[in-house]
Amino acid sequence: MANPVQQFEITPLVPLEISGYDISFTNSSLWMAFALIISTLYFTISMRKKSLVPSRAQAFSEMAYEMVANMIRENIGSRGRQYFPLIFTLFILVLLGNVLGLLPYSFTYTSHIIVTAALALMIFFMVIIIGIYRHGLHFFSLFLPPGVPILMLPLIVPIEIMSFIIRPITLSVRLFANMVAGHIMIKVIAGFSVMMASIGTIGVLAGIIPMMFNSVIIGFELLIAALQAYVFAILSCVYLKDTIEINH
Amino acid sequence: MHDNKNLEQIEKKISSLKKEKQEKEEKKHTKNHKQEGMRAAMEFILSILVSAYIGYWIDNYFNTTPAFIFIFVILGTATGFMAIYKISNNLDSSIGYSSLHNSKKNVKETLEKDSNE
Repeated sequence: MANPVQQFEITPLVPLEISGYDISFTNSSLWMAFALIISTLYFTISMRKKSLVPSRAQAFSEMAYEMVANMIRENIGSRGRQYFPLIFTLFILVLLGNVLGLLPYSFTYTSHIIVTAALALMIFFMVIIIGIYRHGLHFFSLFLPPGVPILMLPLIVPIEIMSFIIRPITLSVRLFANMVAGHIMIKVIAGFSVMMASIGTIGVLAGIIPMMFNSVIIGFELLIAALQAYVFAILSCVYLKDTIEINH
Repeated sequence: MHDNKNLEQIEKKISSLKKEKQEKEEKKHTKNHKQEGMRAAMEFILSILVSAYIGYWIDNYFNTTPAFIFIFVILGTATGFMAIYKISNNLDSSIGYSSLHNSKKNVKETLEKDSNE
């Protein structure tokens, strides 16, 4: 049976090294490039006609656009429109990473914590830098909740600071763990089929059962792939809200 | 007479359609709750683990084992419970309490509205 974790292995396709740093073009980079090309081509081609009655492709890109726009309006408010390009890019990048990973022989780049952590830390530092730039030192009143008795402050302030630090970690671990768990589950159950088939004629027939089960799981994984991209985008919105308004 | 009957039928249809819509929306909400529950559990566990690691790191740096890991595990547990509290109050994980005040106010207002009606 094949090792279920082998699919997450990064293999350099074009080895490159600059001053001791390994910056090879890996299979992960390849699929990121695919995601970039596919999203760019899709949105350019589908929106080229701009017909009043949209075609199927145009309707989908409009749907994605409206969904992200609504998400921002609901979670940040109308002033959050400046973040639309960022949130939309994040959403499409994560969505394509998750969905392309379900194709056979592909590589899921969101299944590596370094990728998701880089995205989450970008949001984290953006919140700090834009927050301090806009609000100055008043930004740190984020950790000083109003209406709390002074006696409670030594307890509440560290808790708030901790939950601020933990945010990028939960954001990245959620996406990464969901992707890894799903792909390992698919691989293990597919492995059952192979093991069954090695028994003999009866095994080949019995091996169909895990295969049927797997086809259900792949549908489920598709749902999780879209859902996790949505959750990632929506939580980025919630975090970026702190840069717009500190409402107390 | 005939018109009245027609109107009644239409009203019945409208009310049944409204009910269906409500049921659908309720279903949506329960689905969201499951997702939120997973999130709360993850945030709880991760906040303890991460703060324990931070404590461990500080202890190693300053050679003060077990002082900081002790403090940070307690702090992390408190943070985890706070995260669960915030998520269960539907506040998301935004920092601060202004949204908490607002949500309580909203609940009060809707209750008053309902009792007035």
